[in-house]
Amino acid sequence: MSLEGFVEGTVYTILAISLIIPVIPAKRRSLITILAAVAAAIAIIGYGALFVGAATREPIVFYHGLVVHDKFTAGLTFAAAIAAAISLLAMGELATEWPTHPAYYSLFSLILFGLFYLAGAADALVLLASWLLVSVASYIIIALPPDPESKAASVRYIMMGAIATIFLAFWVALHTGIGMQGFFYKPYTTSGISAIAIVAVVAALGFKLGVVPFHWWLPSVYGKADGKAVSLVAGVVKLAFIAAITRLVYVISTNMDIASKVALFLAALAVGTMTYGNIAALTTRRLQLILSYSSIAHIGYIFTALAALAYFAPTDPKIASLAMGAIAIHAIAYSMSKTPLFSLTSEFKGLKGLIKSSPIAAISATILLFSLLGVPPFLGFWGKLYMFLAAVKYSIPLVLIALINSGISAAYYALAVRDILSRNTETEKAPEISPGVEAALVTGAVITIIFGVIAPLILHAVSP
Amino acid sequence: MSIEKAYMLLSIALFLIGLLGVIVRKNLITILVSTELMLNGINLALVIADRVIGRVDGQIMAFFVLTVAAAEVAVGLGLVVAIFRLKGYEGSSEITQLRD
Repeated sequence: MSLEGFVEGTVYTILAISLIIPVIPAKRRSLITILAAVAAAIAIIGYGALFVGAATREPIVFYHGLVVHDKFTAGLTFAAAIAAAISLLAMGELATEWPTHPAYYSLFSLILFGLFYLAGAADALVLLASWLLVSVASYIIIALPPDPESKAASVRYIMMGAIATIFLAFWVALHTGIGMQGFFYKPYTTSGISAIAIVAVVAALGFKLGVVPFHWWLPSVYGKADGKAVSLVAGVVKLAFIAAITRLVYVISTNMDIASKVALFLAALAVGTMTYGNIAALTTRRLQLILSYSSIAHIGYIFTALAALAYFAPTDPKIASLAMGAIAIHAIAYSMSKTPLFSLTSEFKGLKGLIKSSPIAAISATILLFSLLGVPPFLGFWGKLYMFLAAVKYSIPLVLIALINSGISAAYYALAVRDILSRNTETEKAPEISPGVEAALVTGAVITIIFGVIAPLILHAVSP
Repeated sequence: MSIEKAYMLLSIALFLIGLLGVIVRKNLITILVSTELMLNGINLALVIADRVIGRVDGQIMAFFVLTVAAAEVAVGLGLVVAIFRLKGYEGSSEITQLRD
């Protein structure tokens, strides 16, 4: 059996599981949870095979070129499958207590299915369809927990999502208008319609990723909804969107003239995004809000590398490839840290005394926060190092701003770590932490350390 | 003015009216209706572009955009119903009116 056939088989199996789950009677809780776990395992195997295949030979083409997975997109898809498994580990059977309980597990599998198409989309139609599939599933997942805060967060999320989808549809209209169907056909030109198309697609993805000035929704969604639901949306789905925007930036930067303009546009967005994210994070002491603002900041760092990618895509494939690999490593580090930490926030509001209730969870959470900060030898350090190495060739002031921002972020991460390691609790008894979340934190930390040690190898494996 | 040009202007007008609604209105349902209007403007543009160029790609896209609109509004209205059930008519307004 060919690799393409095997991967397509796993993708369809995941879809089948997602469609079977709603049919199973709601009281068979463990069966539903096990099925979702099976979907996650199949995704890890299938996307792992995809990654190995893409890393060892040419890009793998599906559906006559509608979906193309190269090293970069396959690596991010594989990482997203691992992050989804971590998120499910933290959730466990908890979602069966929600009023509409098979829905979470079904949508979880549906997101795993959609990731494959969204990350690998090489055609405007596939991008629009998979974008819709993944976004609608994430709106519902945010709305599922029974508390009103999650419902209010989902209202904002849908509002923002609708606007983002309209920008994407607008781009699709312009894209077909200038006579391009697949991504890889004619290059964009410097005409007015191309400029509007580029702004529309960056705005669509900017809304989804929380780039300043499209960020207003993010703190009230990531910061207020149930942490375990957020962990899937913030940690897993975002990877596929990052893959999509990276490929789009690579595709639209076809010649020097247009590439320098796109790079300048992305660099301006990067500066605004990371500065806003880091300064806003200083204003709060609640971990979930800190993590939401740091999500904004991390997208800003990724945009510095995207600017370098856009600038060097037509002229210097070596630096462009370094930038892509760096984006992949940073996105993986981000996802491995954010997924367990957001799950932790749904059980642990104050953080103080985490070391009392579970020392191993506290140490793992510390490692994950250090990885987000960029302390060697954890994976987050390598992501930042390679991204800034690529960006320094494009613009030194941009990297200086990124480094200053990284310094600012040390303040709030250090405060969070101090809270985690402090033995003084607000109440007499240290709060309990569920074994699922503990396992998720440990898994995330172990992956962060192992990947951190072999980071140069990963860079080689994911940069095309 | 040719018929294509007139339809193009109509599609731009639809898009702009929708955009105005999204920016000005605070009620969730009105905003959802406004986004529908914007998507329909895009649809019209896609179909007209096809008539000018003489292809069918845009018409296929238009069907996709219809699906997009249906899916998003279905989820949005479903959420409004869920909020009404949770908080009743009085309590729901602060969420659907997008107040903090």
